[in-house]
Amino acid sequence: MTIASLLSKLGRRTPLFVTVAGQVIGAADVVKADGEFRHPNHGRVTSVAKHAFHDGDDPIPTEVVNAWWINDPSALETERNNMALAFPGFTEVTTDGRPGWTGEIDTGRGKHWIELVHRRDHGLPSVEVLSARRLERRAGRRFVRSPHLFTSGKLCVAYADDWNADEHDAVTVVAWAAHWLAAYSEWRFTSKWPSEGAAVEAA
Amino acid sequence: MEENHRNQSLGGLVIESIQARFAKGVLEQYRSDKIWSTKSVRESSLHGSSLTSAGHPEFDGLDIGERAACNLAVTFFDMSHFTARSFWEPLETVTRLAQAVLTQFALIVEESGGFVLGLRGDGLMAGWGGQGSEPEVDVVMCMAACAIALDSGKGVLNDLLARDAIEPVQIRAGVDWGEVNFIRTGTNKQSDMNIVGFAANFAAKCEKYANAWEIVVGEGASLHLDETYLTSHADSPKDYQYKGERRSYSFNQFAWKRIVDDAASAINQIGGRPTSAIVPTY
Repeated sequence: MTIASLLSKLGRRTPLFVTVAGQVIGAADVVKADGEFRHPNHGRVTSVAKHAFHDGDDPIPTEVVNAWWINDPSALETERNNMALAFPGFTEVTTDGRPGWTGEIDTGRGKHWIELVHRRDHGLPSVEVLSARRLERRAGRRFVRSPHLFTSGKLCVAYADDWNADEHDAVTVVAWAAHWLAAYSEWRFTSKWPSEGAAVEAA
Repeated sequence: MEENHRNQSLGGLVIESIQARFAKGVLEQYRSDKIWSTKSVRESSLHGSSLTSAGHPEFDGLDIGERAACNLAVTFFDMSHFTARSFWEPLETVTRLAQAVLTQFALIVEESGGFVLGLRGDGLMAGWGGQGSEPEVDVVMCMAACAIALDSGKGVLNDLLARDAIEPVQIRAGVDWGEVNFIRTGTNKQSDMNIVGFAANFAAKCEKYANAWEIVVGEGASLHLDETYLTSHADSPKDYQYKGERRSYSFNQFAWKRIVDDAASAINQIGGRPTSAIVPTY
């Protein structure tokens, strides 16, 4: 049992936020002004939407005639604006003809280069850590695979039902990935995964 | 002796539990010859320069009249029925016991990332929090320290005291969280750091509401705790009236026995670092 586990058990759930650099912080000193959350030291911060980590097989995309970014180009444009504000260090990429984002998450305990790629059916985007060949920790002479990974090794940042394409975008998923990586850092140190996800979010 | 008081054995390496360390520390202090060596007034004024007073390191630099605000989880520990004990038992005995128990309380406070803010007779005031710390972390580590202090006292310490034919101790604690002011009060010759604010006052009140082996938690701290660990106190809420306005403030019993094992591990992990060093990832 660790501090994080005790907090998870005993502490009342409060919203989490992610800084522009990718560090997860608590709600202390975060204020909402003009529709955005700000912290006196970290500047603009992003609320972590409700989500739960899980694992299993990679989700199978639904076949669609046109990808969502073809049907609704304005949604992608809105996402670009939101990413520029929330995670300005990220750059837009195209992978297998699909739009996505790549950038560095600095958890405060380590830096990880990630890539997020959208799905044609507008389901939960996939997230992969590019800066590590394997996500694992040493346990004696062997290595233990990180919890909360899909079979492919991509991050299982949330349940498919946590994702709401009408409300969420890449900003949501980068914040979930930052939370995943913060928990992963804790797991690497302590062997205990400290969090089930985020049970509440800032309004 | 209950299972969680025992030292753990891992591959032949015996790891002393925090509760066992507490109890052994109390007995060692209690038996120490140092306490019996009464100094004269003149000698006692020449104390070692390396000793530091209780207080919060972020506010040590305040001059007389200067103040600084801080959100803090505050606790008051004390030994209940100690006044009666000091009436009946020799002064040397109660001095020895107070010194021994409070020294171990202070160690638990330090190890759990808190600061001893003051000592009076049979009681100790401590705080968790400071620049950049999360209120929830401050409150949870404060509760962890209180739980370990009570568990250590009720279990191992009283077992050891009984073996030495010493009357058992009874411990209680009150906790609250909120904004307090640190202000240096006094004269140029003599001053002390005073901690002023409702949270500090109500934590002291909670301690008085607590019976032996109970932790009572004010509304401010309760807001940061999972409600399944809280039960409304029979005397809650406390009503305050001021200029015709009436407001209530609730307080709760805290189910500290349920967190003892987790608290010991968490204190071992934080290892004396301030709570501001902890990043919440839950």
